[in-house]
Amino acid sequence: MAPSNELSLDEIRAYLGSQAPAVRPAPHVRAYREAAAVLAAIAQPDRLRPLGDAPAGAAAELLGLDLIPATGAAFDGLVMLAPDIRAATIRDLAAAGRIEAALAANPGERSSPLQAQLERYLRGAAPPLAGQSLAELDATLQVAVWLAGVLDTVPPVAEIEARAAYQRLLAPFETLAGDAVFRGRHRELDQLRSYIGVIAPESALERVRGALSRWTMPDRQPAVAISGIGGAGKSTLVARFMLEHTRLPEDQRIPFGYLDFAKASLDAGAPVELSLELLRQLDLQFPGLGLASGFASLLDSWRSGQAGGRSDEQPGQAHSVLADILGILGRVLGPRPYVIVLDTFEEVQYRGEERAFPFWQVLSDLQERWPFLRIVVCGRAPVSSLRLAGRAPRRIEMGEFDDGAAAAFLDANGIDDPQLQRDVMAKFGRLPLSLKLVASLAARTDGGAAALTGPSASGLATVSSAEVIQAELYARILDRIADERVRRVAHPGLTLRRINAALILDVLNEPCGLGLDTLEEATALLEELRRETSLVSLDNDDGDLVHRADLRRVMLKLLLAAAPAVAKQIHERAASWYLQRPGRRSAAEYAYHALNLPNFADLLGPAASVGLGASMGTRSTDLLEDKDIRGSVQAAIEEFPVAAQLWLATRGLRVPDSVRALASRDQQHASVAAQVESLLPYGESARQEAEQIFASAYESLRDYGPGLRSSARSVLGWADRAASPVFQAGARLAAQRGDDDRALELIGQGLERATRDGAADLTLGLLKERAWLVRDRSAAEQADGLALLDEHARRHQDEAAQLQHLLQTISISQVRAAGYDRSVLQEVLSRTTADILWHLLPAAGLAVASVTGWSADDESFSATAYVALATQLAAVVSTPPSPFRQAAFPDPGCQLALDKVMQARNRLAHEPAPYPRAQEFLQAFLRLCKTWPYRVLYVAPPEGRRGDELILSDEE
Amino acid sequence: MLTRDERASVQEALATALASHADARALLKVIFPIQANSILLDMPAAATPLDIAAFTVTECLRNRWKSRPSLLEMLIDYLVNVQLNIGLSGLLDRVQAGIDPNPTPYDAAWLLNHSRPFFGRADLRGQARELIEQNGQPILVVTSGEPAGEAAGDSAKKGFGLSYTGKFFEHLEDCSPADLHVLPATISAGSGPTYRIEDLLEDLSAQFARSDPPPERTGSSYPDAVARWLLRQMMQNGGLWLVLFDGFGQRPLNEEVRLAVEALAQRVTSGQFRRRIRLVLLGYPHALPQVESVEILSEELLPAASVCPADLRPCLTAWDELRRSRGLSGAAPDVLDGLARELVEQAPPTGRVRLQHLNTELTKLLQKP
Repeated sequence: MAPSNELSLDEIRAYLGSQAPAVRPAPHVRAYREAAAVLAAIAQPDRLRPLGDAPAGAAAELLGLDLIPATGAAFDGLVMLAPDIRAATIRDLAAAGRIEAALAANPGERSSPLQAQLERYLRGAAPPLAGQSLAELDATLQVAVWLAGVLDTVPPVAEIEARAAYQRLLAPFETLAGDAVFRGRHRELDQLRSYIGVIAPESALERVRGALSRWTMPDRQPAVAISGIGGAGKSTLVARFMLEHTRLPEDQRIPFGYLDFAKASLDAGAPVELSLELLRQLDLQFPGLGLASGFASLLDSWRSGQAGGRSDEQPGQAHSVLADILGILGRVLGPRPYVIVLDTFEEVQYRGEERAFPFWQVLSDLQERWPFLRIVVCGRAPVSSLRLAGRAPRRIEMGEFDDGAAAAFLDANGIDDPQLQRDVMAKFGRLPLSLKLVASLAARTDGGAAALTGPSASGLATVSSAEVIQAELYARILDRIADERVRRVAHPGLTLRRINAALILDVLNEPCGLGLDTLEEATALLEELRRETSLVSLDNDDGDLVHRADLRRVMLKLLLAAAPAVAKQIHERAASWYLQRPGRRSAAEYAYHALNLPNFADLLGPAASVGLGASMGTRSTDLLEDKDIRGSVQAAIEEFPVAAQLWLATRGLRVPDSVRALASRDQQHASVAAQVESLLPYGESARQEAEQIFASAYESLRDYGPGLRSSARSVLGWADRAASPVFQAGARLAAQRGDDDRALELIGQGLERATRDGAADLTLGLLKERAWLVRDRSAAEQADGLALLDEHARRHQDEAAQLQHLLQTISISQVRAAGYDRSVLQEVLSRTTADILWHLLPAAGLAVASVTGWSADDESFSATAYVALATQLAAVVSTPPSPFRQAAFPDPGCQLALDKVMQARNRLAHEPAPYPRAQEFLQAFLRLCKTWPYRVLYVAPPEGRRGDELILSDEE
Repeated sequence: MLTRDERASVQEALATALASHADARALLKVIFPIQANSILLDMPAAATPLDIAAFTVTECLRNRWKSRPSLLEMLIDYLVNVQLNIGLSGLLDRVQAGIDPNPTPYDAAWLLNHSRPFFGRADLRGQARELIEQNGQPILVVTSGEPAGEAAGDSAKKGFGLSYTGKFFEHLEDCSPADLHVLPATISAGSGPTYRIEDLLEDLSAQFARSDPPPERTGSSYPDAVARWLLRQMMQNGGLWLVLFDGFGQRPLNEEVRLAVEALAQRVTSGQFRRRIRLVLLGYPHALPQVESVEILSEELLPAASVCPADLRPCLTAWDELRRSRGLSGAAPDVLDGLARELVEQAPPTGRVRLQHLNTELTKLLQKP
């Protein structure tokens, strides 16, 4: 029994019983439910009138949890009936024929478009889906979520979704190039029409072919590359081209795929995802063919694979399903062209076009089987690496607008008078950038465009080069900025690509003579500049203002001509400013400004880079090896001085042909070697591309022997017998394709020249390759190769070469018998970084296998004795910056093996009892070495999705 | 780690030190020789000494005792031994001893100032702690045990209480000394097609003390732009942010909203954001593209039938303690045991109504005179 001052169970029970909720009379509840069920949402629940007898103003009380918040502005209300209650109530109302009565109860709540669509379905008066706009389809979908299966008039959710998805696929084409906005570009459209061969040039509605039965299997064709500056209308052109094909009658329509790489979700290095997106789009275009069933299971397995780990069968599956579906299309529709458009391809190019090679391979294989495949690639620079039908892409360069396109452009930018448009074209030409500048200037000029073209328009050149016209227009735009300080921030301040208040205060204040004292003043100035939307745009990521890229080149020319010393001062101050700030964005801006300074090589070269990456928080000790920063530099390459561009070319970045032509012999060779290295990680078709680059460079280096031809070449000064990195590049390519003899031959040639010229770096590089190449040859050859490597490695204090020597030595069994094994390996690992281990991975695998006596397939080994080794190895692979955390192999088997290494590393790091985890880790490590997809000892880590880095579970 | 008052004292002492130093950021490198860079990485560019102090203390509290010595110890050590804030020396001893003065909010039986009960959910409590205090897995997905694509039902196997989970995180926000901000957005059942990305932006932007104008639609992906905008608002507002999406797993769902959720999930797992942002998805049985499973914590709700008297006992114990603390009569342990048994026996056997009944009965107890 409870003490007197304590609560008893009876007392609590009695209290709870006394607090029972009030009963809701069922007829009253029903009356309110019937009134609410026919309303999409209720704006004023307290004024809701029940359908039948019930107390007024009691909706909230009587409906209680039946009412849920109306989330979404389109509901145009506060609350609505819960979907299950709505469905049951509507079913009853329809059966009783009381829908109209329910609607009549609350006319004041029936004003939204969604309500109108609901009522159409309640009354059975909705138009067919094919006749509904996208907005109507969205409303229909909402109605179907509530009432599909309740009312016969409401179509199934899946059917509405498919129809809306198809319209969404076409929507960007309509927006960009619908009849109301598109004009001109006749020549380029005709080129595209001819390529596809369905619509005759200049006759958009007249088909080349007649009946369906006359589709004939076409020949394979190379791709088409459309290029031009930003704003030239590339995307608009392809949009129009796609649109006119989608408007053909169904029996004449061609299937298409549209991949816009401006979308972060599309990754050129992920051919499976791209293939799946193409499949999805095909299914939307031809819903009657049931294509979705062919790849639904693949899609499911890929999505779950992404969440739970990859399967190495998926890429093959994806390609094979895509090929099968093209086969179905071919059988059902005839061999009509299947057009794939790759838009905004510059996004891929900035990060390295070589990443697209695995996808190129998919397209090439597909076209081999189905010749009707047609590829159109749009980007600022023409794509060069996609070879279909054995040929480079045909080029369409988007230069000047024609009259129609120029008029449409001016229309869209507020200059809509036809005569004025003609005057503008006559005075300023029809280049897209010139017209954009004219439009910007007109918007700031009293009298608009007429004031720029009329007799009073003084000072603007009438007959001049496009460059001069653009520079003058830009200068005029700057003149129109009323506030002097804002004008100075715009020019020369926009030497900076990005501007924020701190940069204005710390970097621009002095060189631009702004006279600012506080951050608040700088912030106010920034706000003023923000209004100059024709010059800058806001970066939503960090709030910085960003100079519009298309104007930048015009401005830089102006700046260099007018105030080179100020520009240099700003670059210097900006480089120092960014150097103090961690983060990859800062690192990218640091690199940008450093490359604009005369001492760029000192600021960014290997010596300066030691520790720079780590201190700025980038993914590589060398800034230019960080993919994001490299992409940023590549995107701006033409903004750097020629000397910097040539230097960047030796690091594997792409420069314009006109600049490449200025390169010295050594720069050209270094550039070739760097290009080969950037292609090697990306599979067979990338290797073939590299072979071509090598072959043309090697031609100038060939030694024609002691004969007459060679003598003649020497006499004529054609023979190049100096040391060159091209030999090592060629040897690596030969080794990668399995021709070790040719590789050794090239190494021999390279060594002869390198030793003769005293090129120590080249010699050591070649010796490393040779030592690895002879690993399976006779003991004498191995010993010879390793001895030479050892000698040079010691002489030049090259840590990586010394470690390679040690690892390969460990892997020779006789040495192990001499007791040279585990402690030496652990000593090697204690000196190794993740980067070095990556570059020696297969050799490390051999050494681990030799020391432990295990192989990747051996499930029975015991790791008891090797916990320390596993822990040490795991620490090396995971310590940043680590290529093991960034790499994403095009080869799925190897990627799976790498994933398992990192997963095992995580478990080893967290497991209190490390023994089984050590075994798991070493096993995963050996499997990775076994599946290593390269025959050469190392390649640069293939880039992951947009350069992402794996974060480990125990890290900040 | 620190009580709210203690946090304010440490913050103030650090702000004073920063204000008297010519280069505030350089001072952080003195206090945290190795870790300063990772703290500075996320710090807003135009921060005042007070902002920097608040940001730094938050980072120290979030780090707890993960590093040796802990960041908080390094900070207080500097304030005591260099800045001579002798008054903080007691804190230094306690931090060095690894003592946290705060009761753990993760075990709470009543939420939001004892206004509503929260029973069971042992998995969630552990996962929430890991989510908030660690950086390894920045996403938590709570599901009802119902596979993706199946119609909502009231089956006996399904778990209930998804939306109620949000109250738990609001409670953690109230109790956390580490400057936790919960940013919820909800889509009611069956509203997926009509809830637009603009609705999402409005729901979220209204909750920031200061925010930039919403992103404009341009040629590039708007859902990506919205995700980036949202991340930026959180990063520049300081503290640890927990975005809580309820109802976003329903299908069909507006495509842009779905893509924004996926873009956000993808981005919060990247280095710069995982330190400061968490994502909780209530009722989201779908895969998250480009997010590795290792990034995701998960809780599957148990069927309502599984609630047993032991689940209710912590609520009743806390209720009893609360009454006694207010000078009201309490109940003996055996009475509480009996009450727990009776409440469970009298509740409907399965489904949402079982949980609703138990919640109602427990809440009624709060009003007992």
